[in-house]
Amino acid sequence: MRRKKILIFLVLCLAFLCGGSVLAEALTRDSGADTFFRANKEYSAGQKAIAEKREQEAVEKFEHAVQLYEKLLGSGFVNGQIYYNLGNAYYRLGTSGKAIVYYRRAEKLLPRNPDIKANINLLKSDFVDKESISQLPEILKIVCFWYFFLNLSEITAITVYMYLALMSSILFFIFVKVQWLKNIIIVFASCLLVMVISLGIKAYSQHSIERGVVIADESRIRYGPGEEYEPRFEIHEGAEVRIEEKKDKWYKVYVYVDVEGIRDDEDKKETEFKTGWIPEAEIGKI
Amino acid sequence: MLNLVSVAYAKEIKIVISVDKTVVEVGNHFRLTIGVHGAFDTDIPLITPPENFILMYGPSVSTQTSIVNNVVSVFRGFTYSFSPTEEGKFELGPATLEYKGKVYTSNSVKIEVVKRTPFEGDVDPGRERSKRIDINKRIFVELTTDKKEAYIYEQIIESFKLIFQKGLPIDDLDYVAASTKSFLAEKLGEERRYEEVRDGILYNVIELRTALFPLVSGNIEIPPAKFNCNIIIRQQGYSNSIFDEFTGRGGQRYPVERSTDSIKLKIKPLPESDKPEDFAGTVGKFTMDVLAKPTKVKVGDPITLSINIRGEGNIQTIGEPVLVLGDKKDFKIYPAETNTTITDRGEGVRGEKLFRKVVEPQHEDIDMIPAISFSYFDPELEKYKTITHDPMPIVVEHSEVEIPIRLTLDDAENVKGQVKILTKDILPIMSDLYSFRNQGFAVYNKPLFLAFIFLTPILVVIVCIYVQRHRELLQTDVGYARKKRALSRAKKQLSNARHLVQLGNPSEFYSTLAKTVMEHIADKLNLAPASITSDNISGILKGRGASHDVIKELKQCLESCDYGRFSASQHSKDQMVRTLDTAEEFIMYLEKQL
Repeated sequence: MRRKKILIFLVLCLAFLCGGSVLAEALTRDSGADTFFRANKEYSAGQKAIAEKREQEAVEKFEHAVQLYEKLLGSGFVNGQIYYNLGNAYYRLGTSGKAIVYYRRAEKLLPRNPDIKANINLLKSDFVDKESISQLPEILKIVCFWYFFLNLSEITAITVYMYLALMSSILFFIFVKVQWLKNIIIVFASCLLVMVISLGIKAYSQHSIERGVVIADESRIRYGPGEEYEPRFEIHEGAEVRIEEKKDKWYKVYVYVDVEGIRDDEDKKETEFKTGWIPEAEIGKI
Repeated sequence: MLNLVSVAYAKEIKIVISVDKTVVEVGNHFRLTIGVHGAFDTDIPLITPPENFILMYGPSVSTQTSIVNNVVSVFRGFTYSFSPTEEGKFELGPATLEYKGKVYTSNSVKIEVVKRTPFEGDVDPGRERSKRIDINKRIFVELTTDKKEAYIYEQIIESFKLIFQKGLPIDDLDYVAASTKSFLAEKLGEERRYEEVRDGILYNVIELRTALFPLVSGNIEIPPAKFNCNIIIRQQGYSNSIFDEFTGRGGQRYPVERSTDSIKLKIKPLPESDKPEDFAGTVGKFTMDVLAKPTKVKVGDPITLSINIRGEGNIQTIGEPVLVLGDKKDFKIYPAETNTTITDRGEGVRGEKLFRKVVEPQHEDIDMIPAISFSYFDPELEKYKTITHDPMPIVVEHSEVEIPIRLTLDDAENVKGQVKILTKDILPIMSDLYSFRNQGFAVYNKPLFLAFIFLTPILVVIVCIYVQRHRELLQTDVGYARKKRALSRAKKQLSNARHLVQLGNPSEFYSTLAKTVMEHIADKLNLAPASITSDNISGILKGRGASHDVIKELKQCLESCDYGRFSASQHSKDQMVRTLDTAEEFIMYLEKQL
């Protein structure tokens, strides 16, 4: 009897915790949606003002939209739509570098959205520096479609479900030893292995490799972390970099842009040639 | 002779004589009114009637004040009634009035006095009466234009007048306007109502005016306008009650239909010679004002030009003034927005048309907004006129920060393809609230949750494997099953023994206790119970590693049991309990050891 009461108490506690969590999530979502809706409205008003040649008003509207999107992100509410819209607003305000930063963040969360890619390509066609990022083979994108099709959360979720399915199959097999169940276990185990590898690569590329975008109009890549070092070359707004190290207020970066004379200097490796130091303030981290 | 009785804008004093009829029978009465316009405080005008006109009464004085367009008009009437005594033609007037040292003279009126018609008793009085009424002279209509020749698009004022004798009761007025197919017609204000003296008789006039703008050249005829109404004539001998007056049955209605003459107009085309290049068909008289705002801008900023064309003519069709540009690349010009306002419809259509035009200077070398020209045809002077507004100075500054709003990419024009891309722009924002949720709660960011998710199934699987293995051994391995079940079985038998202590049955108690111990050892060692005896038990236990003390204790316990089973002496409960405890301890020891 006592055991039964404890069980009921535990079930009730679990229901309360789950219910509270769902309710809290719903409240956060409603509040976030409200701010998001208002920010979108400001953006649309700015767009209308552009069409009617009221440029000053348009700037004010876009700036207000940016404030609202930033406020939403500051409150801990993260969504790919917010990043994308913020990128659009920054583009309208003439800061393409920042726009690329937010488009890239949006791309991480919404990898299947074609609008983000279209906007990134459009902006890149207008940038000064020519990029030299090696494109992955198309066949790889087709074979490993899930890797490019899903974001990190989705891959994680699928991996968890796959693991639970595998364990359930094993449990069944412990009690019911049939051959087809054995085959299912093999299939689930194989899928789980693939998903775990994908998850590992994705998590590593997104969290262990830091990337950034030049947000200043012009930025000098120097030989060392400080103004006292000679500038090596100059890159422009929108150029993407890989952040390798941080020292004081300087980032050591590898740039993904074409650098003149790189082929002529046989003694140096390409990586060494394209690396340098840039002020922290001139980089927007993705 | 045409004298307006009601002169709204009269500033001078006017005197007008009018009569209610110009043909009078001998002995009958007629009324003569001397109207003084423009002053209240005048003396009675002087008039000398012919000697054979007997003054029946008068003067009765009436005054009237009217305010039209905020201008006050005053009128004072002096009415006399005369009765002629002889036949003939007479002239009444002029009347004279001296006012503030000046002498004013009126018109004169001719009166024909005819012989009196003798009364014939058998004639229908109503019919006889109607005979005498010359309706055509009492009500008639006129259609006129202010000019017979005009240029195409020139303003012509058409005037329709309904003229009826003052005091004539008319009702159910119905006006069918003349068709103006070849014209653009614009109604000029509300109907005008005034009085007019014609041939000495005072008439009421209702005038409707329309501005016509001919759209084609050549000889054009304005067809007649038509007018219908009913005249109410009170019959002799007819009931004259207040009720009839109230219900409108106080007289007989005579339908009257009138139509005007048609008007022939000659519409001339506009001359081709000296026609300016920017002429856009505007005809009339106009002026132009231009205002530019702001005059100090940065490159690419908008300047609004407000060009106001004001004047007389067809305002709606005024063409857009032209900006005389030196280099078309200097300014980006947007189409003008227009706003038309008719300010006056009194003596013709007057108004203004405002053109709002936005221009954007494209470089900082520009210091002037170019001249603006507007051409029109003046029909009075019969020639084209061009108004040119001089260039206006402006200051164009360099835009340091390029226009922050980016709409298009500059190289959009260079894109090649079958369909030319007009502009390149980013795609619109996303606003899908359905899928709007916080993606910040990522599972991979919760290590504890992940550990729980991954470890729990593993633990469950391990437990399940263990349980299944145990179940299988219980079913397949007898020794394992006996060993696992030995303790529970022994506990059950010990419980029975304890019960026997309570019942006070020592022989049965000792027998059960000995059996329990022996069976437990057999179960634990998977031996047949019969194969274990008191003699070989110490050897067996020694072989399994049991200590000497334990074996000794067990032996004593078994001996106690044998003694209790087979001796006839009394056994105390305490002794039985001690033996039970010893057996219990031994069983627990074996459970750990074996």
